[in-house]
Amino acid sequence: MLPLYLLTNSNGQHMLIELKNGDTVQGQLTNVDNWMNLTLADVTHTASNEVITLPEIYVRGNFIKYIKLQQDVIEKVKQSSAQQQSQGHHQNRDFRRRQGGGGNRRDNDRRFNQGGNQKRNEGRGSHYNGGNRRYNNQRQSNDGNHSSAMGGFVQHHQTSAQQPASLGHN
Amino acid sequence: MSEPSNQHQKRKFEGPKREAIINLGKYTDKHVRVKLMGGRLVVGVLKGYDQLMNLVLDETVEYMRDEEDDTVIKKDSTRELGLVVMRGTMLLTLSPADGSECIVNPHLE
Repeated sequence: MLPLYLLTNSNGQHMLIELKNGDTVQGQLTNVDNWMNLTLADVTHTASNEVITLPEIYVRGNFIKYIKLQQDVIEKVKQSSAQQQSQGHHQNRDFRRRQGGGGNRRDNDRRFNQGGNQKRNEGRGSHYNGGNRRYNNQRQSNDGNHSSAMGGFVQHHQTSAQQPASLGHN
Repeated sequence: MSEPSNQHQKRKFEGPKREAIINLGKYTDKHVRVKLMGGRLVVGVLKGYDQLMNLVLDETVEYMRDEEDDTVIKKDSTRELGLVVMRGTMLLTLSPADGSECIVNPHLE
Protein backbone atom coordinates (compact mmCIF):
# COMPACT_ATOMS: atom_id res chain seq x y z
CA MET A 1 0.00 0.00 0.00
CA LEU A 2 1.80 3.09 -1.26
CA PRO A 3 1.17 6.31 0.68
CA LEU A 4 0.11 8.40 -2.29
CA TYR A 5 -2.02 5.54 -3.54
CA LEU A 6 -3.80 5.37 -0.21
CA LEU A 7 -4.33 9.12 -0.20
CA THR A 8 -5.60 9.43 -3.75
CA ASN A 9 -8.08 6.69 -3.07
CA SER A 10 -9.34 8.14 0.18
CA ASN A 11 -10.90 11.23 -1.37
CA GLY A 12 -13.89 12.44 0.59
CA GLN A 13 -12.52 11.09 3.87
CA HIS A 14 -12.19 13.27 6.93
CA MET A 15 -8.60 13.63 8.05
CA LEU A 16 -6.28 15.66 10.21
CA ILE A 17 -3.06 17.05 8.80
CA GLU A 18 -0.28 18.39 10.92
CA LEU A 19 1.98 20.85 9.18
CA LYS A 20 5.66 21.34 9.81
CA ASN A 21 4.97 24.54 11.75
CA GLY A 22 2.71 22.68 14.15
CA ASP A 23 -0.57 23.97 12.71
CA THR A 24 -3.23 21.38 12.14
CA VAL A 25 -5.75 21.26 9.33
CA GLN A 26 -8.85 19.11 9.61
CA GLY A 27 -11.18 18.53 6.73
CA GLN A 28 -12.49 16.38 3.95
CA LEU A 29 -9.93 15.44 1.36
CA THR A 30 -10.99 16.58 -2.09
CA ASN A 31 -7.85 16.20 -4.19
CA VAL A 32 -4.27 14.95 -4.09
CA ASP A 33 -1.45 15.18 -6.58
CA ASN A 34 1.93 13.56 -7.14
CA TRP A 35 3.65 15.90 -4.69
CA MET A 36 1.11 15.21 -1.92
CA ASN A 37 -0.28 18.71 -2.34
CA LEU A 38 -3.80 18.46 -0.98
CA THR A 39 -7.05 20.29 -1.21
CA LEU A 40 -9.51 19.92 1.62
CA ALA A 41 -13.08 21.04 2.04
CA ASP A 42 -14.95 22.09 5.22
CA VAL A 43 -11.71 22.87 6.95
CA THR A 44 -10.83 23.71 10.51
CA HIS A 45 -7.38 25.28 10.58
CA THR A 46 -5.85 25.35 14.04
CA ALA A 47 -2.86 27.65 14.41
CA SER A 48 -1.02 28.19 17.68
CA ASN A 49 -3.27 31.04 18.79
CA GLU A 50 -6.39 30.84 16.66
CA VAL A 51 -8.85 28.45 15.11
CA ILE A 52 -10.43 29.26 11.78
CA THR A 53 -13.01 27.49 9.71
CA LEU A 54 -12.62 27.67 5.95
CA PRO A 55 -14.67 26.36 3.03
CA GLU A 56 -11.54 25.12 1.26
CA ILE A 57 -7.79 25.01 1.64
CA TYR A 58 -4.80 24.10 -0.50
CA VAL A 59 -1.84 22.66 1.39
CA ARG A 60 1.61 22.19 -0.11
CA GLY A 61 2.70 18.57 0.25
CA ASN A 62 6.20 19.68 1.12
CA PHE A 63 4.91 21.27 4.30
CA ILE A 64 3.02 18.28 5.69
CA LYS A 65 4.43 16.58 8.76
CA TYR A 66 1.87 13.81 8.93
CA ILE A 67 -1.71 12.97 8.07
CA LYS A 68 -4.02 11.24 10.49
CA LEU A 69 -6.51 9.17 8.56
CA GLN A 70 -9.52 7.38 9.85
CA GLN A 71 -8.93 3.86 11.04
CA ASP A 72 -11.02 2.10 8.42
CA VAL A 73 -9.64 3.91 5.37
CA ILE A 74 -6.92 1.40 4.63
CA GLU A 75 -9.42 -1.46 4.84
CA LYS A 76 -11.74 0.26 2.40
CA VAL A 77 -8.94 0.99 -0.05
CA LYS A 78 -7.60 -2.54 0.25
CA GLN A 79 -11.05 -3.97 -0.35
CA SER A 80 -11.68 -1.91 -3.43
CA SER A 81 -8.20 -2.60 -4.76
CA ALA A 82 -8.80 -6.32 -4.22
CA GLN A 83 -12.05 -6.00 -6.14
CA GLN A 84 -10.12 -4.22 -8.81
CA GLN A 85 -7.54 -6.96 -9.00
CA SER A 86 -10.17 -9.65 -9.20
CA GLN A 87 -11.66 -7.75 -12.11
CA GLY A 88 -8.31 -7.68 -13.84
CA HIS A 89 -5.00 -5.93 -13.34
CA HIS A 90 -5.63 -3.32 -15.96
CA GLN A 91 -6.16 -0.41 -13.62
CA ASN A 92 -3.29 -1.42 -11.40
CA ARG A 93 -0.96 -1.45 -14.32
CA ASP A 94 -2.28 1.90 -15.29
CA PHE A 95 -1.44 3.20 -11.84
CA ARG A 96 2.07 1.79 -11.88
CA ARG A 97 2.68 3.30 -15.25
CA ARG A 98 1.48 6.64 -13.94
CA GLN A 99 3.69 6.26 -10.93
CA GLY A 100 6.70 5.47 -13.00
CA GLY A 101 6.55 8.42 -15.25
CA GLY A 102 3.81 10.44 -13.74
CA GLY A 103 0.25 11.00 -14.67
CA ASN A 104 -1.44 11.73 -17.89
CA ARG A 105 1.70 12.96 -19.51
CA ARG A 106 3.03 9.45 -19.49
CA ASP A 107 -0.26 8.24 -20.90
CA ASN A 108 -0.02 10.79 -23.61
CA ASP A 109 3.55 9.82 -24.24
CA ARG A 110 2.49 6.25 -24.57
CA ARG A 111 -0.34 7.15 -26.84
CA PHE A 112 1.99 9.31 -28.81
CA ASN A 113 4.48 6.50 -29.02
CA GLN A 114 1.80 4.13 -30.11
CA GLY A 115 0.84 6.64 -32.71
CA GLY A 116 4.46 7.00 -33.56
CA ASN A 117 4.84 3.27 -33.92
CA GLN A 118 1.82 3.09 -36.12
CA LYS A 119 3.12 5.93 -38.15
CA ARG A 120 6.53 4.37 -38.24
CA ASN A 121 5.00 1.09 -39.34
CA GLU A 122 2.95 2.84 -41.93
CA GLY A 123 5.99 4.74 -42.93
CA ARG A 124 8.01 1.59 -43.16
CA GLY A 125 5.26 -0.07 -45.14
CA SER A 126 4.87 2.80 -47.49
CA HIS A 127 8.61 3.09 -47.83
CA TYR A 128 8.78 -0.60 -48.55
CA ASN A 129 5.99 -0.35 -51.05
CA GLY A 130 7.55 2.69 -52.50
CA GLY A 131 10.75 0.77 -52.83
CA ASN A 132 8.87 -2.03 -54.47
CA ARG A 133 7.15 0.29 -56.77
CA ARG A 134 10.36 1.95 -57.68
CA TYR A 135 11.89 -1.45 -58.03
CA ASN A 136 9.04 -2.64 -60.20
CA ASN A 137 9.10 0.51 -62.21
CA GLN A 138 12.75 0.02 -62.78
CA ARG A 139 12.04 -3.55 -63.70
CA GLN A 140 9.27 -2.56 -66.02
CA SER A 141 11.35 0.13 -67.59
CA ASN A 142 14.16 -2.34 -67.81
CA ASP A 143 11.71 -4.84 -69.26
CA GLY A 144 10.69 -2.36 -71.85
CA ASN A 145 14.29 -1.59 -72.63
CA HIS A 146 15.89 -4.99 -72.46
CA SER A 147 13.30 -7.67 -71.59
CA SER A 148 16.05 -9.52 -69.75
CA ALA A 149 16.53 -11.17 -66.31
CA MET A 150 14.49 -8.43 -64.59
CA GLY A 151 11.40 -9.42 -66.44
CA GLY A 152 12.14 -12.97 -65.49
CA PHE A 153 11.95 -12.02 -61.82
CA VAL A 154 8.52 -10.50 -62.21
CA GLN A 155 7.35 -13.46 -64.20
CA HIS A 156 8.67 -15.76 -61.55
CA HIS A 157 6.54 -13.92 -59.01
CA GLN A 158 3.50 -14.26 -61.14
CA THR A 159 4.04 -17.92 -61.80
CA SER A 160 4.73 -18.63 -58.15
CA ALA A 161 1.47 -16.91 -57.30
CA GLN A 162 -0.34 -18.85 -59.91
CA GLN A 163 1.21 -22.18 -59.18
CA PRO A 164 -0.72 -22.99 -55.98
CA ALA A 165 -3.94 -22.08 -57.69
CA SER A 166 -3.17 -24.43 -60.54
CA LEU A 167 -2.18 -27.05 -58.00
CA GLY A 168 -5.48 -26.56 -56.29
CA HIS A 169 -7.25 -27.06 -59.58
CA ASN A 170 -5.37 -30.25 -60.19
CA MET B 1 -24.64 -3.92 -15.48
CA SER B 2 -20.95 -4.65 -15.19
CA GLU B 3 -19.95 -1.77 -17.46
CA PRO B 4 -21.11 1.09 -15.25
CA SER B 5 -19.65 -0.45 -12.08
CA ASN B 6 -16.36 -0.88 -13.90
CA GLN B 7 -16.39 2.71 -14.95
CA HIS B 8 -17.28 3.76 -11.44
CA GLN B 9 -14.33 1.89 -10.04
CA LYS B 10 -12.05 3.31 -12.63
CA ARG B 11 -13.11 6.76 -11.57
CA LYS B 12 -12.77 5.87 -7.92
CA PHE B 13 -9.47 4.11 -8.28
CA GLU B 14 -6.76 6.23 -9.72
CA GLY B 15 -3.14 7.16 -9.22
CA PRO B 16 -1.86 10.53 -8.09
CA LYS B 17 -2.20 13.47 -10.43
CA ARG B 18 0.37 15.64 -12.11
CA GLU B 19 -1.85 18.51 -13.11
CA ALA B 20 -3.07 21.29 -10.83
CA ILE B 21 -5.47 20.07 -8.19
CA ILE B 22 -7.00 23.43 -7.37
CA ASN B 23 -8.63 25.78 -9.81
CA LEU B 24 -7.50 29.25 -8.75
CA GLY B 25 -9.73 30.77 -11.40
CA LYS B 26 -12.63 30.76 -8.98
CA TYR B 27 -10.63 32.96 -6.59
CA THR B 28 -9.61 35.68 -9.06
CA ASP B 29 -10.54 39.14 -7.73
CA LYS B 30 -11.38 37.54 -4.39
CA HIS B 31 -9.50 37.81 -1.14
CA VAL B 32 -7.23 34.89 -0.44
CA ARG B 33 -5.32 34.07 2.69
CA VAL B 34 -1.82 32.77 2.03
CA LYS B 35 0.63 31.36 4.53
CA LEU B 36 4.23 31.54 3.44
CA MET B 37 7.36 29.66 4.33
CA GLY B 38 8.93 31.34 7.32
CA GLY B 39 5.60 31.96 8.99
CA ARG B 40 4.26 35.08 7.29
CA LEU B 41 0.54 35.41 6.72
CA VAL B 42 -0.74 37.65 3.93
CA VAL B 43 -4.20 38.39 2.65
CA GLY B 44 -4.71 39.90 -0.77
CA VAL B 45 -6.91 40.05 -3.82
CA LEU B 46 -5.88 37.37 -6.30
CA LYS B 47 -5.13 39.02 -9.64
CA GLY B 48 -3.25 36.23 -11.36
CA TYR B 49 -1.61 32.87 -10.98
CA ASP B 50 0.26 30.25 -12.95
CA GLN B 51 0.93 26.52 -13.02
CA LEU B 52 3.67 26.82 -10.37
CA MET B 53 1.26 28.62 -8.02
CA ASN B 54 3.11 31.90 -8.36
CA LEU B 55 0.50 34.47 -7.45
CA VAL B 56 -0.18 38.09 -8.18
CA LEU B 57 -1.88 39.66 -5.18
CA ASP B 58 -3.24 43.17 -4.99
CA GLU B 59 -4.08 45.26 -1.90
CA THR B 60 -1.98 42.80 0.01
CA VAL B 61 -1.85 43.03 3.77
CA GLU B 62 0.63 41.18 5.90
CA TYR B 63 -0.37 40.27 9.42
CA MET B 64 2.48 40.97 11.79
CA ARG B 65 3.68 38.49 14.36
CA ASP B 66 4.41 38.78 18.02
CA GLU B 67 7.96 39.95 18.69
CA GLU B 68 8.61 37.40 21.42
CA ASP B 69 6.86 34.43 19.81
CA ASP B 70 6.81 34.66 16.03
CA THR B 71 4.40 31.76 15.68
CA VAL B 72 1.69 33.98 17.14
CA ILE B 73 0.01 36.18 14.55
CA LYS B 74 -1.44 39.42 15.83
CA LYS B 75 -4.87 40.16 14.43
CA ASP B 76 -4.70 43.92 14.90
CA SER B 77 -1.21 44.70 13.64
CA THR B 78 -0.80 44.71 9.86
CA ARG B 79 1.33 46.31 7.21
CA GLU B 80 0.41 47.16 3.67
CA LEU B 81 2.33 45.46 0.89
CA GLY B 82 0.15 46.53 -2.03
CA LEU B 83 0.69 44.74 -5.32
CA VAL B 84 3.00 41.76 -4.96
CA VAL B 85 4.10 38.66 -6.80
CA MET B 86 4.25 35.66 -4.50
CA ARG B 87 6.63 32.95 -5.50
CA GLY B 88 4.89 29.58 -5.70
CA THR B 89 7.68 27.72 -3.97
CA MET B 90 7.21 29.83 -0.83
CA LEU B 91 3.49 29.19 -0.63
CA LEU B 92 2.44 26.77 2.10
CA THR B 93 -1.30 27.05 2.35
CA LEU B 94 -3.86 28.96 0.38
CA SER B 95 -7.47 29.44 1.33
CA PRO B 96 -10.25 31.86 0.51
CA ALA B 97 -10.57 34.68 3.03
CA ASP B 98 -14.28 35.06 2.36
CA GLY B 99 -16.34 32.51 4.20
CA SER B 100 -13.67 31.93 6.79
CA GLU B 101 -14.41 32.66 10.40
CA CYS B 102 -12.66 32.50 13.71
CA ILE B 103 -14.12 29.97 16.10
CA VAL B 104 -13.28 29.11 19.68
CA ASN B 105 -10.68 26.40 19.93
CA PRO B 106 -12.69 23.18 20.16
CA HIS B 107 -9.74 21.37 21.72
CA LEU B 108 -9.79 23.65 24.77
CA GLU B 109 -13.38 22.90 25.69
